[in-house]
Amino acid sequence: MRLPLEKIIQRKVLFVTGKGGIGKSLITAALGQYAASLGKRVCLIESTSHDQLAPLFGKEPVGHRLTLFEKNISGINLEASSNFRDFVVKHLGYERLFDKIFNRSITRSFISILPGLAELTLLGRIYYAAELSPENFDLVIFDAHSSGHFYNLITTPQAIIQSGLVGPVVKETQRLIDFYRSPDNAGLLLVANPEPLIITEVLDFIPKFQGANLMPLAGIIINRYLDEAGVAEELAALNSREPELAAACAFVTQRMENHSGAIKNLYRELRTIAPELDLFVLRDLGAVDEPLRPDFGKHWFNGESPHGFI
Amino acid sequence: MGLFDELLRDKRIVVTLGAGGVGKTTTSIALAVLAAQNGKRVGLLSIDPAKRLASALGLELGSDLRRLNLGPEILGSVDAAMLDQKAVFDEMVIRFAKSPQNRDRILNHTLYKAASTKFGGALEYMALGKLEKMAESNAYDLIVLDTPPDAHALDFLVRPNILAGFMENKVMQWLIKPINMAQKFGLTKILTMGERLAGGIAEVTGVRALQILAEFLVLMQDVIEGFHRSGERVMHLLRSESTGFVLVTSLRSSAVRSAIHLARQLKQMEHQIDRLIINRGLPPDIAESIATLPSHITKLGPAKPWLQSAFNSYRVSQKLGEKIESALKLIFSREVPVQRIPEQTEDIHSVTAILRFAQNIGQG
Repeated sequence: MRLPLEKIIQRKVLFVTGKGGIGKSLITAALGQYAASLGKRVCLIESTSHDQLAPLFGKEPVGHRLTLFEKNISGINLEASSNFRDFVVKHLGYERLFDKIFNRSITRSFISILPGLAELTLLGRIYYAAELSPENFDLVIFDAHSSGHFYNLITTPQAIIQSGLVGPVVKETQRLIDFYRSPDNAGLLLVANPEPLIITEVLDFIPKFQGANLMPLAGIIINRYLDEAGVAEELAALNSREPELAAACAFVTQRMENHSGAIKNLYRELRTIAPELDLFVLRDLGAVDEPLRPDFGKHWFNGESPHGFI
Repeated sequence: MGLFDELLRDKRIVVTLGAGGVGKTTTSIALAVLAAQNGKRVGLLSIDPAKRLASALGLELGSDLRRLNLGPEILGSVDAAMLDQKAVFDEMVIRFAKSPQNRDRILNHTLYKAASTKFGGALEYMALGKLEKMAESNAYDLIVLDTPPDAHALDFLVRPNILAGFMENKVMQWLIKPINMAQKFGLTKILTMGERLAGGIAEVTGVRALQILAEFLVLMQDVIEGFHRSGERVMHLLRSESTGFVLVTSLRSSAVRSAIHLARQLKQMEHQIDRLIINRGLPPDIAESIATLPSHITKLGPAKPWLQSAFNSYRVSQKLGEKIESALKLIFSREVPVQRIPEQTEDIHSVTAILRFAQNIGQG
């Protein structure tokens, strides 16, 4: 089953989320390459204590500096206190105010102590990259945190609106809410592996997230999928014919069986809870070498093996 | 002698660290179980276990400690809490607020209601407060602390410093002074009194926001100071010899990168890593079989890409295993004892499965 990926990358911002360790950063990078191969100017964003995206392009950590990763792909690792400054200065236009008032250590304390401020300014910076930045990006992809943290992030603007504040911040917050809610602007890509426990979590997350009406769900990406016609038969034959490969074949067969059960369950449940949702299945690569080759994303999302393997 | 026997016998607190998705929470539970098997009374602070595992163990969301059902063969016990932001936040407010009136005003404050249920990032403060209380109580021989993944992993070690910065910078006073004055002289007056910080925020958020914020901070002052003192005591505890750190990683590039980064940060904070767990590796017999793939490659048909991907995973994980071990040796100038746990063929969501997993970790 194929997700109309070219339609999805027409949106201005895509958030990529899912359980930890399922390949969110790799998918963010590869999707960026895919969009860049279609001529889009792409900005990849993460907000982590250490860069995960830059190394995928063979770069040293870039931190809070927008850096060209490869042709048409830039990246940045947004850092909380710099976000706050950028938000006040670039977004709200209060440069003098900021520099007069907030020195660095105060800003740090201030941000840590006020719940929600880091989340709000992060969303503000991503909005800025998509809508206001002089670089005129066609597509911003945010390598969002794991689903729980992502949910906290995306519910923050609502919490601020409900907290009784008024004034410019509330106006800006409402602007963010409206922006992220529109399917023309934003979409969430939910990444999962075809394993029973992870699929169960995805199935729990979808109705909760769609019910909250914060960001349109653009699709589900199943990463590391193993299954194809004829493979199981050959593995069974190899298993008995080649003693050296027997354990390897049994291992792959076992995983394929797990995957196909989990995927069937996902299809069945989705028909009830979100029948309109697009699903995209990415084949298992085992592991990838860094840096990624520039054509990695294009091949992978086209369902091909993106590199020479052995 | 198992690899963790000494650690679980001698330490009072064991902290598990690692990237998201490496099995850190499951490892924390397994370590608690191992210690309980040796007769210890264990307290476990967990962040976000898989739902089915949590319910199999009788673990419910909330800040209350509950005895896990581990079966009659276990000599000791494990009392666990699965931290829920609001519940622990409330607990801290109740503990530190200077009067019942203040406590109720905080709990009913509009900012507090928004902050304690919806806003992210505050869990780390909470874990600290809870940890301190448990350490003080002497009800536990050992406390196992699970930490949040990814960007937030070390926040709990950094938070007390940030709170300290907040105190030293007198941000509270800056914010609170004008509101006290405002009560005396009326709001328009303070905006012309050159209270730059307060004025600045008023300009950005509106005066009403400033009022709400300042009100909140006035109310919260005792609670924040309470957090701060509690945080300092925990920092002291965490720095002592009686605290051990266990780093957990899987053999994926991003997880290993996170693990090395965490190790460097810990070193900077003058902590050690006592044990490394490499989780979800290939079982040795399967790895051996996969390693022979290149000599069979010409005989393969449609199964070729799938076996190749298994080989790829084997090849890269070999490389990453060496990378993390040598990085730790370089950072800490000594060998860190390693336990390698092969990938489990089934999901761990029953008591039997967690006991088996604990056995894997505990092996010599």
